[in-house]
Amino acid sequence: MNGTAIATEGLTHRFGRLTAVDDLHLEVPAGTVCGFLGRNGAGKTTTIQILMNLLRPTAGTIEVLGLNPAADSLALRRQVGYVAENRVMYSWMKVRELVWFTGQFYETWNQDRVDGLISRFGLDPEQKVKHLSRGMNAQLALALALGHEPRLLILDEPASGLDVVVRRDFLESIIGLIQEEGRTVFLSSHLVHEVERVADRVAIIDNGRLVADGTVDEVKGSVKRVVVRMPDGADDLSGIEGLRQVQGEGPRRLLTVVGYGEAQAARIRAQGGHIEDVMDVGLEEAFVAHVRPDSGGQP
Amino acid sequence: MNTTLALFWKEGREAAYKIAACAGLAMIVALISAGKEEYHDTGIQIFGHLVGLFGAVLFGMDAVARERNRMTLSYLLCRPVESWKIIIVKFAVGATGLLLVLAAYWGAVFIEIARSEGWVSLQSQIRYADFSVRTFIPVAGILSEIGYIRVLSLWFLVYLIPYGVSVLASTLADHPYKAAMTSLMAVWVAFVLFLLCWTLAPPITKFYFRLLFSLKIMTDAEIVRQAFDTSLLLIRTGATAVLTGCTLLWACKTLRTRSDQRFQWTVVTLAIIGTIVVIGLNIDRSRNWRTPIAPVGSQKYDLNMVDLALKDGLAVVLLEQGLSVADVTDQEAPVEIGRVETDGCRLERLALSGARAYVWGEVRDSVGVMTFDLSQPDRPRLQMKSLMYPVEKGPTAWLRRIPRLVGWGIWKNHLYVGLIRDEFLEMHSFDVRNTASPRRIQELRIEQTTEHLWNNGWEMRIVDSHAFMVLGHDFVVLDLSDPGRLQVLCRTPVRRFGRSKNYEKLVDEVHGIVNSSSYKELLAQQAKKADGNSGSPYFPMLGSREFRSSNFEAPPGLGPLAVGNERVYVERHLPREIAVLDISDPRNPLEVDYIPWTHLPRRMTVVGASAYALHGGDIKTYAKTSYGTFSSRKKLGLEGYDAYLRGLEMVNLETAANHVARDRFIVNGDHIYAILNNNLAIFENPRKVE
Repeated sequence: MNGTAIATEGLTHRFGRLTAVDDLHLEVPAGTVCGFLGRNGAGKTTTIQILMNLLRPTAGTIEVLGLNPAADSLALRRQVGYVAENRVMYSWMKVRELVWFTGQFYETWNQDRVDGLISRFGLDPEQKVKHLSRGMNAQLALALALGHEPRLLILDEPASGLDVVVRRDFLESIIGLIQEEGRTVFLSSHLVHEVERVADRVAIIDNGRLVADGTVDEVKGSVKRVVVRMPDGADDLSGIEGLRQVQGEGPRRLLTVVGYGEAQAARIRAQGGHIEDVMDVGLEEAFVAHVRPDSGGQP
Repeated sequence: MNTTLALFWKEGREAAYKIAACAGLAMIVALISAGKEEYHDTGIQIFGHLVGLFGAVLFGMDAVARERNRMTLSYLLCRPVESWKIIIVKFAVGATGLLLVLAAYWGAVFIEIARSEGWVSLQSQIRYADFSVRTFIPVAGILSEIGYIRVLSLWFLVYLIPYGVSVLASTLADHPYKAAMTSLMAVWVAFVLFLLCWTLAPPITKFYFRLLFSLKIMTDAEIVRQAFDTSLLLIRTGATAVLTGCTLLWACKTLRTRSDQRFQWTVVTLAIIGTIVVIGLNIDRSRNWRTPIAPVGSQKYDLNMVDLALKDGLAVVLLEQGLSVADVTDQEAPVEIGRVETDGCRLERLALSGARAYVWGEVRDSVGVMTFDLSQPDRPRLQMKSLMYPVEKGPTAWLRRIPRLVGWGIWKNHLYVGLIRDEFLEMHSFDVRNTASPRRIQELRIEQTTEHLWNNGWEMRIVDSHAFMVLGHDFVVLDLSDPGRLQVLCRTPVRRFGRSKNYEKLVDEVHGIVNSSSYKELLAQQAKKADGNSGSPYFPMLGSREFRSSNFEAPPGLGPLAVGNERVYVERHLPREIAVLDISDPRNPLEVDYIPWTHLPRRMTVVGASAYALHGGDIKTYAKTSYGTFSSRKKLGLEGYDAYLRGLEMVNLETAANHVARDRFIVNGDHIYAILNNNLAIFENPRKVE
């Protein structure tokens, strides 16, 4: 599938004086699984709520599946599946009733598919929603979000609050479905290693701003750990752009640098440092490096 | 796929328990309020309003705020369904709940009334003499005549508006309780606005406010009028549709926004300001009203006082059985200087001409005019009795057939007496120029006067050569320029609304029944059974004035009138207002204005830009506003009059004969002379500068 599923330009949203999303430029190619990472309060849910037209942006433009969420809200919601962070559904309904109720809103509702998913997740259609465990609740929400065969699935912290086993099952369900159908998934989370398991691309948001965006490898590659030996008495590492962390004491130091390249290497050398090794990092370390403030060379 | 059906299913399931619980509670409340007959008038109405208000808030507050609070709203909003559809379905389900709760309340009221009193109709109530002038029709009669559906519709139409406000508050709140509080405060703000409009706005605003929002079953048959008059129903429906439509539009617009605390804070602020305004208004009112201005002088009488006239520093006071003359040259110390007692007479109205006083009254078994000589004020004497009609005896002392005096006055040495006898109003003119014995010179008969029996506040005002009076809904002008050839110059209905066929039919039926001989026989039988003390609203026609005086509130029709500045001010009970007629051309009186007046006075006088009105036992003064209406100013009254009033309200038929409340007043330049609770009270006129 070609094209862009989600594109935002200068997206900004303010709650009074608080800027929750700040000039966000985001692009999610169609057919990919995109992890939307950020710390708690980074602006992930606000961004998703804007994408779903649950909030109106203060500034900026948005396109989701080529549609404007505010102007083409109805058409958009027909093509998007959404699982909210809290996954609160009508607790007094039975699973069967909730499936029927949700299905009434969609012309493309695939009852067989939803029945299949419910069966696969081992959910009892006669059970009331309030009696489902958190994991079952999440699975039901996923089944309902996929019932109308959406082109884009938006999952807001889908695995939060679930234990490891359930979380893994849940994400594997997604992986399986995505692999089967090649739909676009936009998945927000602060559990980086979980995202790394399923995502093709990652976008990292911090304080409402996009700080990294690309394939998982690109984002991981944007951060390096550099082992540096400094001459005796020299510990001035200031001026190294993208330096996020300095670890170790004595002449041997471990630097975490975002966007490491020749410029940073030259700077280290200029300050008398000798680069012993440059190491790749995992997505979690890359995420931490991106959301950690610039240390300015201080250990 | 049926989105709407699914939404109705969900909302219905969620609201079902609440509807059932509220309906059950409303029925219990209804059974309590309608259970005892003596509570009917107030209980049914007050509880009806409470059920309506709290039903509206309870169903409205949950509409959106509950979903927002439990976080299911986003689940709904993420589905491909229009916001307006969500709001409309929520509104419709809640409105159905409100309707069902009101239906349960009124259903229980109807059932309870039927259970305790039988399925009464107005006719049957009249036939059994269970009928009161004071309330026009008893509540049970009103309800059964209007019918369950109409009552329900009227109540529902009114409470749909606060329900709409509550839905809006719910849309803007994140918790149902916040929505409920906001709704209640919004209702309070609306009430304060209503009060402000009532107090400050031009009459047209007051009139339409009342038309749209008032809902009464207690007095003046207002609800009967509202239920039967199609135009009123349509106006109310239209107003409800517009107001609720606006709130729904606002709700649709804000459904997808986060809860807006600005709205709540605005409402809270307005509610606080409103409270301050109301307290301020009350303080302002209480300054004027709470402490009545005491008389500068007063004279207590041991006999019942019934009428008053002034002449050359003298106050002539008509007593029930006598006539007294008081010297009022010193207003601070009025002194009775002479009295004549007339044992065996029951005197009623007084008019002065020259050195004589003419009095209408009953002597033994006849009624007629009595003449008193006042040439020696310290020694008044009964000079002559000109009896006109015999009193037809009834089975008891109460039930006698007496011509009813409805007009009385002197102009240019001629005495004019208006009487209702059978189907006619008779206007008699007497020449009182040269003899102590009035000589009847003409009798004019005006037909179709039966509608008159509705009115208690009879009054005829003579100005120049014209007499102005009311006949049912009609305003009548008589030409008195030739006392020997009295003629009706004009008779015209003074109505605000077009005729409501059902309403008029109802009134006609009542008249028909009341005038039937069988009804009068029934009254007689009942009176006999009750040892002469049985009650009937038609004692005013059949019985003595004592009973009449205890029934101040007249049913629909025109009430007392006042004349001044080429204007006639006529009370119009439906709606409660005073019609202002231009009488510069007496042949063609023209309604030029009206004054909304919630508490219609029993007697009213207009002098220049001031109005004086008798309410209860007080005289209230009013100043004309820039809008032409009158605003209240001062209250004149006797100390301890409240107790007197309470006693009056508590009066029952058994003791009615012992009470006389024929209060009157005369504005005479700097002073106001009044008879209040058997006192001749003289007040300084607070508006004498006018």
